[in-house]
Amino acid sequence: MTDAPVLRLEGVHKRFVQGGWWRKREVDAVRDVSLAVWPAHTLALVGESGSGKSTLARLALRLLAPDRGRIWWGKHEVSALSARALRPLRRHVQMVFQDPYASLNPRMKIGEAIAEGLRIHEPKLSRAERRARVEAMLEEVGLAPSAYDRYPHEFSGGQRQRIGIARALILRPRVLVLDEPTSALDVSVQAQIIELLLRLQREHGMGYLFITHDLALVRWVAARAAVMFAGRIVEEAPANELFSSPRHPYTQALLDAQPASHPAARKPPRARGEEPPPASQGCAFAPRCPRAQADCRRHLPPLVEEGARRFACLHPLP
Amino acid sequence: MLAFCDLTIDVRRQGRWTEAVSRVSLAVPPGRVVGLVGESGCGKTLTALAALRLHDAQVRVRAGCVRVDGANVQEMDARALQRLRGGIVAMVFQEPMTALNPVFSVRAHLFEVLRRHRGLAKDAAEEEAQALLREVGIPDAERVLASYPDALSGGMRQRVLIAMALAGRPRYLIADEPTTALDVSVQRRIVDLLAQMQRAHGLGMLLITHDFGLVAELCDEVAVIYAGEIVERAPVEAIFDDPRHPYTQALLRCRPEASAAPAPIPGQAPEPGAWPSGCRFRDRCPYAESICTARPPWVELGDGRAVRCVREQA
Repeated sequence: MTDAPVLRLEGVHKRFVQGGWWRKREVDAVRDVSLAVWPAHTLALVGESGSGKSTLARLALRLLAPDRGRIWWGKHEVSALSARALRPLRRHVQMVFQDPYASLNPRMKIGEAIAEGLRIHEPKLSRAERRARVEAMLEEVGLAPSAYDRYPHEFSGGQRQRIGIARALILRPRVLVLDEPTSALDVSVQAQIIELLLRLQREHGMGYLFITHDLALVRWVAARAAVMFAGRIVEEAPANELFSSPRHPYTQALLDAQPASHPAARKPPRARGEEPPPASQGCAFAPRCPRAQADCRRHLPPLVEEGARRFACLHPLP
Repeated sequence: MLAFCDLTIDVRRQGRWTEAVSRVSLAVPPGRVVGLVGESGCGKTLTALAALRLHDAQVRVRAGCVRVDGANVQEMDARALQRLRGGIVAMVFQEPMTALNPVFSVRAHLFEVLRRHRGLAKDAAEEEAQALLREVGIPDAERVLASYPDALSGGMRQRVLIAMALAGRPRYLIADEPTTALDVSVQRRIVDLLAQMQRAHGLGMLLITHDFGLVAELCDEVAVIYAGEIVERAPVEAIFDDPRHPYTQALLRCRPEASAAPAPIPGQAPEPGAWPSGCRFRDRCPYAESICTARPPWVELGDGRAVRCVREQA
């Protein structure tokens, strides 16, 4: 492991105001989040929809500015930089989206879409040099160089995700933020894309922030995982420890929710309705928590460190 | 019995009819859950839609048929079809938002089914609608009945859809990727709910999915479909313990497991019109030989197992 994280967040907070003048509501989408992504390592970020993980991704990319807290890309602090000051730094932090098709202009050739970043960040390259760089990138992600002149609709879902990866990698970033990069793909294609991402990480030493709701995937791609609930990181640990001995009851609940891997491991169905919404006071998970006690509803559990792991629970699992 | 007999379906692409589903045979007995497992474009959803004749003008059933308790769906008149859809066979779709009409309340959705299939109006419908919502795990039924789809969470929408499916008291349920759009913990709850409803009502259920986790949780039997063709059929334990078709084996190895790193299948599934001759999986199969260019036989192995592969031929 190299000396410094390529992406670091410290005490980052983001509040949104929802609704208009009529029924204004403030939502703290990300609350006091600290995390670090190291070169050649993957930090998985797990959470359900509404947990704030996508907002966190946008903060990490500085597509959003934090209300509080600090963000570093390598040694550059970027928390409060203007769009203009961010521009030359942006090449170091790139993003791979869930649905690459939505992020591709249907009338732009694939090669040109991938070359966009180069045009901005390496304007001195000649046309031919640029094309050569893109073609090499296409090959690196397992596409034919001839894909350069084709259009997005000519590609399958898996190929489009390869294009999305090529586009993110063309500037040789140090960090890749991956937002559910395989959840829209078929299982067989998903495995191909994950293998590709792991190979590229081995070869180029990028740090990955891998956002997913699929715990089975976490075990495969990430050395560490952070679990997010209602805007906060409630537990972070080496992935194997997180799975073998979760300390936070929410992590346990996520593990329990995993489908069986064999019909013999089926659990009897339980009669249950919808989950109650997160609490606004005390521990947000308390309304859903089997271990919750009176103090959980009053006090916000602090994030405590224990060896290589952190968790925020007043009554953690042993 | 909900039975697909040698069903062959064409789709129209750029004015040309192309075969998309080939001689699919599948039987869903009452009270049983049969999984139809395959990847996108393999024809599994087309097959399901054919059971209700819900496909559009770009799709035609060229050969074979679907029979519901003996009646041929292809020969039904408008009246019989209307009774079939929701009254005998109900469907739960992947994306509940697209299956619900945003300008109608949940009450209006449920009342429509209750009126059409059960002849219930006003007070009787109201009572039944509330009972249905409670049955699918929605305790504050009155509030939800007055809500519009976009005010509900994904899990709630799926519950409403399941309530609508049950409202017509069907004998069969077709669930097309019923949980893929949902969060893990919500998925779990919907899976549990489907299992409970299926058992409580003795429904025959056809579960369309690409997710072996869902198969493990819900199915009694499994059919694996690849490039429009069923390549393997087996009781659920057998699929996991001893998959016979190379595609089934490869698909199971794509799943991340604690024990071993997943192995992707090289290449991609061919689209209709681009299927190889003979075995359609041969381009991607590690065991392919020259004999695989001929159409592989459907080999019955006993105990409800069958495989379309030359390697199983005695």
